[in-house]
Amino acid sequence: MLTGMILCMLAVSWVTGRGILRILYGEKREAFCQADFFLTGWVALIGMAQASHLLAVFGRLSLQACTFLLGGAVICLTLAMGAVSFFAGRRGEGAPGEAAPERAWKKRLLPVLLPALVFLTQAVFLLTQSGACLTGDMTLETVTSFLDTDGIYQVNPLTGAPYESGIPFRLKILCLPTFYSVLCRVFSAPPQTTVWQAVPCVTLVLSYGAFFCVGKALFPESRKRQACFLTVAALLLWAGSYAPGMDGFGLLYQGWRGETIRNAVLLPYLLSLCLRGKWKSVLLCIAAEACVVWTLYGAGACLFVAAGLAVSRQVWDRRKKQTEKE
Amino acid sequence: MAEQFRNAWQLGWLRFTGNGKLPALLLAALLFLWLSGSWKRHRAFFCYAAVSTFLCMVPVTAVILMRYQTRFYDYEWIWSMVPMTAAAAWGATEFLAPRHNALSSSRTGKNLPVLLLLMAVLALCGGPWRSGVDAKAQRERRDQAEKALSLVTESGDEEICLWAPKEILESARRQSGSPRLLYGRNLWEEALNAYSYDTCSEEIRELYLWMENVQREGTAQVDDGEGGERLIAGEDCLRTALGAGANRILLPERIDGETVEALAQPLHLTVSRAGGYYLLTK
Repeated sequence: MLTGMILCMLAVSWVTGRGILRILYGEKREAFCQADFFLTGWVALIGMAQASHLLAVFGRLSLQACTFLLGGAVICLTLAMGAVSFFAGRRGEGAPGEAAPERAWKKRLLPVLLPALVFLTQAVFLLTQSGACLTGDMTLETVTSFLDTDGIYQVNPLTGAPYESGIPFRLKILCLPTFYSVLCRVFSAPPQTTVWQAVPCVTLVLSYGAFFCVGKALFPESRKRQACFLTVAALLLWAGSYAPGMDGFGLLYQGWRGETIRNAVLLPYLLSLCLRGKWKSVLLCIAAEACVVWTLYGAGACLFVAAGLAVSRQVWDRRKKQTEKE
Repeated sequence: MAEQFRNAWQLGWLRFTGNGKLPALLLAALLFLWLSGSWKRHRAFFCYAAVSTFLCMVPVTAVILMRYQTRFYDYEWIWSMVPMTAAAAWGATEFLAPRHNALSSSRTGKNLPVLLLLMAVLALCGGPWRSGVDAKAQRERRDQAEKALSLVTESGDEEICLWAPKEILESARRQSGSPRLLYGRNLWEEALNAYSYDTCSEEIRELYLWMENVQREGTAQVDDGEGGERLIAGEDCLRTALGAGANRILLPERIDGETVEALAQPLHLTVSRAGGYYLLTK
């Protein structure tokens, strides 16, 4: 069940991401890799979860209704994006290099063996340590209360009693607890398995995908350097697992939290997008952050990083032009 | 404002760098990129990384960033805006790749010391052993609590309203959404108060103090918060709990059986054993 849930989430992400990138960038989509498909699809999943969550909160829908809503939306979007990729792919058939020789595959796979090994150690650690750091987080309680009451924020998750004064609005509109509750319903999985194991595994996979994209953007010419970058980043995730707020700690101890998804997935991916100048996808990442993390009216770390990189890029481009003129 | 400055410096930067040393590694990576000239390949990224690191280190700008990220988050979260892992990995790659072609299988023997050195540096910077998270102990506590809870849920069909020591209450709401609790985890984890506008009455707070005191010391002597001590009578607490709706009460085994019987009898509660606890049922 756990493996099925993880594979299903990744497969849906891949199909939707591929289609969305095809729509957003058309033929320029060739500049993207497999990791981009997964990450864009995950961002789209967050978007759909947010839409269903908002409908459920403002329309006072039950969790069951929300499950049908999100499930239907995901199936429709996946089919639509699958069709887009399929037909667009057929039009582009016959491109050179499709039947790559076996040696090319070996050449591709060998450098990623080391990061893959580090990834495996982290996956095992994550699955054995599940739910080890729950300080300051009440996602699991929220999910169990949603499932028990078949409603969204009907009771205080910490006590099970009805709210006396309610919860902050900015918190109420964040979608992750609803998303995880829907996953529990769809896969008939216990909330502990979904929140402490399945989602952190997906986050870990996506985080590697995001750092792979950063490596590709930093060293587009050298596969070995990309692999070296990914290995060092993977080791840094181990090294950074010592304190809350670090990427590694979030991934290995709190992979279900919105802050972890932002820090370990959205921000590295956004960085790679900024380096490649793919600004449409940057906007998607900024929107996704607002759906999973409490931000200043939608202005979070993603917007700050994107703005910082854009300004920095502008300044250097101007300086370059000035130097060229002189 | 002054408090935020204090948070940014004493509780922020010093605590952030006191445990692990990844920020130091980031600074070293940035310095290396600058000195080696590798920064010119991605000037925008390097400048952003350097400037954002500086902004997070200086208390004045750190406070501004803390305000930007909303007061919901502590100092360490402003470092989300610094691409720490990516920048440090970039620096390390620029250091490693030209020198030793580290991933080439034909030179594994030569490259091994470099890789080991890198791993040693990373290990010194930090790691899960410094996290202070004892997963094994937590799992054991959770298992014990779940065992006691299963006995509580088997003890009747009506809706359960539970009063118990905090580790039981923590597990109760994670295991299932059905048991109602007299108070939640926000009483001992203040950060969780940000998730709700609900507040806790003084009576309920006293119940928490009494229960934890019994759990810790087996007595009902409770600090009154002003340096002195006062007695909170167990019978009064039980009466308050029943008045608030509790129909299952778990008392730790540290309190002796006779005392439990004496507490339960006047209130017509039945006493039984549940794991390492006394279960009082209405």
